[in-house]
Amino acid sequence: MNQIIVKDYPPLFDEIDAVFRVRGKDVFYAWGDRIFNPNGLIIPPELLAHEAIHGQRQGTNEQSIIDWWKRYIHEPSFRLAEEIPAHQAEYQYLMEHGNNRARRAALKETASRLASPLYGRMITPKRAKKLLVTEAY
Amino acid sequence: MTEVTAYQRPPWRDGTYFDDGTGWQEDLEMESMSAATIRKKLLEAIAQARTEAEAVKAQAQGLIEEIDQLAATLSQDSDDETL
Repeated sequence: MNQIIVKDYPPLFDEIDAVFRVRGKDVFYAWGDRIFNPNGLIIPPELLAHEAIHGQRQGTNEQSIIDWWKRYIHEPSFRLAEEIPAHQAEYQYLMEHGNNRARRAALKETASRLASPLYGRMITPKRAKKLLVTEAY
Repeated sequence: MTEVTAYQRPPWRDGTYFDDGTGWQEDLEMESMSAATIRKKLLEAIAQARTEAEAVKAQAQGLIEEIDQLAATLSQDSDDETL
């Protein structure tokens, strides 16, 4: 899915920020066929792959996207279930397109992102590593 | 939702990070600079870092002096039984 980049905050931002405290941070938000990029940053290609997975799973119907976000915000188990395939796509991109240095670092870095405080430390980095390499999406 | 992290930015990531040559905008700009310009920019960054380190050092020195003064004052008062 090719997503359009929008330099703005996503709908539901206040609700998102109330839980994740992301105001002012360099965070990207998938919204169906769009990516909201409030700070107007260049998005690294592996993160485009990551957000594309979210976008695909959200669909293009506005209500289905809103429903997805509501569950993502309030249900940690749903959030984890959605972040696993997105991080797998990110990891896969790094492994397929990265140089040696990128590939060496890919698993550790992607796992640490999946286990990061941004998502509420849903799992340990060790568990994240295992999920990235063993579970297909 | 995802956050762009430090390792996804320069200087850790450069224009050779991906096989297709995509890297980071600043890296592409860096590549187009002459060696002399890059050297000049690095020297400026080093000078700036040194200035900041000196400021921290001066601040720490001031703090050490205050601590020493406090310790000296407390030592002088140590015979005072009312303490």
